[in-house]
Amino acid sequence: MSIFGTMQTSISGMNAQSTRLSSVADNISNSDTPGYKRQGVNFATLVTGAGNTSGGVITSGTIEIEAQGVPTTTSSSSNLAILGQGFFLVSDGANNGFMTRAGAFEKDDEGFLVNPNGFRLQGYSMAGGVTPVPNGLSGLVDIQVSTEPLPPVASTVGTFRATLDSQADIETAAVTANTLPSDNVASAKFTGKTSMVAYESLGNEVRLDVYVTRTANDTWEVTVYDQADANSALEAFPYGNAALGTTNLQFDTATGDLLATSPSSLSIPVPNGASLQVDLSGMKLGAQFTVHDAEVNGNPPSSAIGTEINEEGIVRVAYEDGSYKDLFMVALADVPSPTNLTPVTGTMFTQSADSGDIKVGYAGSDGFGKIISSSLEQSNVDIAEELTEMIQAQRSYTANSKVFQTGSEIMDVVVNLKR
Amino acid sequence: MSLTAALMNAHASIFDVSRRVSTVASNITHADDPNYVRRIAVNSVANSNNAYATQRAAAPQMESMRRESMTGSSGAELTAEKLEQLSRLLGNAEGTTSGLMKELQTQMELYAASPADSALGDAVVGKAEQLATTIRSNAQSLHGFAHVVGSEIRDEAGKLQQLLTDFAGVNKAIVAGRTIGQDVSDALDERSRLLNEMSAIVPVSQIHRENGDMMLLTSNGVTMFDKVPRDVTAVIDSTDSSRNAVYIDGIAIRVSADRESAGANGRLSALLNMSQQTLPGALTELDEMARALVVTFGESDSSATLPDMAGLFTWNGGPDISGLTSHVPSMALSLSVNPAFLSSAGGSSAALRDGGANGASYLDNSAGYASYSARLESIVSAFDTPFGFDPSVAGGTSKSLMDFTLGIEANMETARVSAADTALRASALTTSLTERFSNTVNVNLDEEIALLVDLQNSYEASSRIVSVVDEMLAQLFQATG
Repeated sequence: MSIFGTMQTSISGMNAQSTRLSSVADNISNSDTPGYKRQGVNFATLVTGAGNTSGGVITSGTIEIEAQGVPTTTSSSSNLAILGQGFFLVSDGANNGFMTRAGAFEKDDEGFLVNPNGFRLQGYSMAGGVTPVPNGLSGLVDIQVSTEPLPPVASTVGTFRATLDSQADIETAAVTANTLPSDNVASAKFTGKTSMVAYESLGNEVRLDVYVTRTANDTWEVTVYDQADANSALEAFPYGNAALGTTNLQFDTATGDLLATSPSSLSIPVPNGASLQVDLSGMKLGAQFTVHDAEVNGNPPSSAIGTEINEEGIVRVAYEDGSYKDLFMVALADVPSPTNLTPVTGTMFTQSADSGDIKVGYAGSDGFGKIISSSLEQSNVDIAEELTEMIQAQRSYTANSKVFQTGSEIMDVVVNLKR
Repeated sequence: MSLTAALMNAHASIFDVSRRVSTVASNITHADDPNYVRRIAVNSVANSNNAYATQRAAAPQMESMRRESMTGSSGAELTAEKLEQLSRLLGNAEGTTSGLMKELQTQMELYAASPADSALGDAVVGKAEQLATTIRSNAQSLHGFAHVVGSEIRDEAGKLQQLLTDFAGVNKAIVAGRTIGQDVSDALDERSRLLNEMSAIVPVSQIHRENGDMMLLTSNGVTMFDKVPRDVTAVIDSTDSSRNAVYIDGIAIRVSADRESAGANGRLSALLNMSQQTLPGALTELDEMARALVVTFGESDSSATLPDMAGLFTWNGGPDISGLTSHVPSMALSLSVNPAFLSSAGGSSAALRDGGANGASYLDNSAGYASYSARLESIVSAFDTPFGFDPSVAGGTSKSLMDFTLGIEANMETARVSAADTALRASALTTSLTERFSNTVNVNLDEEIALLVDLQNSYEASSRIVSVVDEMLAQLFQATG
């Protein structure tokens, strides 16, 4: 009931409004900062005594983390934005556990993905080819994109799928005279011939000649030679070395498929390379000799042409022959109470006592959002809203100051009662 | 959401519209290029920041139908052209072979009517010389033509090899570009163009692999391109054109014996069919014609002990004609008139009437009659008597020499007309398919201009949003003093 109390109440009101104004100032100054989350102010009453004594107002700050900022397209493929929940984890080399939504990462001279403040993006290594299991903050490594050329890989697995002519002549004379392709003689007879390309250990290509010959009504012989051993460009037989592999396929003449008892693969030792397992289970009998598929794995050394980060956060390097290598997986973090995180310089947040423990995971799983590349999440501040807040704060401040003025004038009257 | 969000969306939209305008500009620039396929700007809605991508208008089934018809029409057109050249080559200034043969027969009839007149005998020898020269020069022309066809085969094979090498480069660029998400439309256009050119030479079938990679096969399962181009080799035999062949990846191209089916499989197949079937066949026919002439005019021993010898016509394997029972290769190249009948070489045309050019035992007119016409008349009728031609040539044993000669020319003319007709139909099909394809994927200027108008409206609307939001914010700024 005292006048002093009234003046103190209005002072607390003015303080509250100035806090509000300062958060508005903060927001407006960061209205273009990527990844910035708007700060708000909550007011609550302060009760000092029972009855009609005036209390005051206390403020607490909040961070509107839930509101998604609009993602804008940029030209750099390493700029990332998160659509949904989650934070990127960055470290300054010594400490990690910094969380941020600002994904303006660029490659530095060592290939690390760093943001403008020099913090490195962290994730898990996929070197083993297996998706690693997130385990809190341990096991996190700095993501480093290496553009080393892809080392050559020798061919180990292949598929040969063709349709064989069911009306082809049966080479019974060749069977009895031992002039089939597998016999490697100058007058070898075959039904069809095609070729495949495989790679040896140093990445050089090895051309394989594949011969198919009908030896009985339902039996076809498949023989593979190294084209480099051919006698001449036009007359391949006899080859300098024996066949690399040969097998006899048994077909079911009614359906055209391989019988269950027939061999369905062929193992070929590639010269200077690995043992190539060719899958022949797709061979069929049909109208005319057509090759559908002659794919072999393995690659020559090829240079890296670009990096790509997909929506699960997998960082992969693309090579010029069309193959990829997955290097890292970007880790996302979340806390049970994100509004209680402590903001840190550099558009980052750290854990606080009220926010809860950090949970680490991957994009697209467990409630985390997805990652889009070549984008940046803009600030979620709306200038119109801030300006309106500012007007309100100004008017409320003026109103509070009026109360203070009135209180002080009344005090004057009271003081002047006694001369 | 909020004014700022509205502003950012308008901003993104303006950016998008300007990029679409650049796609339209690129389309209009290339409107006349038949190999350029219209680009379409696509908004990918998958991620919410409206990423902009360019697509290429595609009609893959129509494209492959068109390529197949191009294979057929190029082959058919080349066949028709070659047959046209061939028939002009064999039509001589002195008249057709059958015409000359008819004149020879007529001249013989006149001589048989008055055998005492040696001037008529000389006229017969003169006609025989014309006929021999014509047959010889025809055979030489055919050899020359075979040579030309052989070098064309070599050229086409070389062209195919070059196309495969270029294809390898473009394919690699497409795979690399696709892997990092670049726009590879120009490379795809180039690849289509290369495939079109290849299809004219051999039939091409494609297997699509991931990342835009492609594997090329030709007929009979032969691989032409699989990560690396295969070798294309032409083997040309300069003496025997039937041994000409083209090897792709070590396997010889299988050429149909039927001219029309071979033509339907592209230019190489048409040329190979000409080398392997048409030209050797024509040469064999000429050789058989020569053999028939030599045998018909031959002289036989009256006591039947000595072998038959060449008469008016001989060749470089004469004079013994007893071994001439079947086709003798290259006989037509050396067909000539026996010098014993040429007055310029000291001979006389009287031996035509009497026989005996090879010696007294071969003398027919032993009594020395001046009007002896028996031998002459028997030769005249032999022109129309069935002759034992080699079964490999059309007609076999049932044709006479005159019918055989007429038949050869009739067949050539029929083949020429039928090939021209096939070519016309095939190229009409190709033209119509090309037009339909072009209407679907090439640039239509009217459409592009209409799109431009739409884009301009979009742009205006987006910039309006920007100015409205700006005004709203200005009001707020005013309110805050």
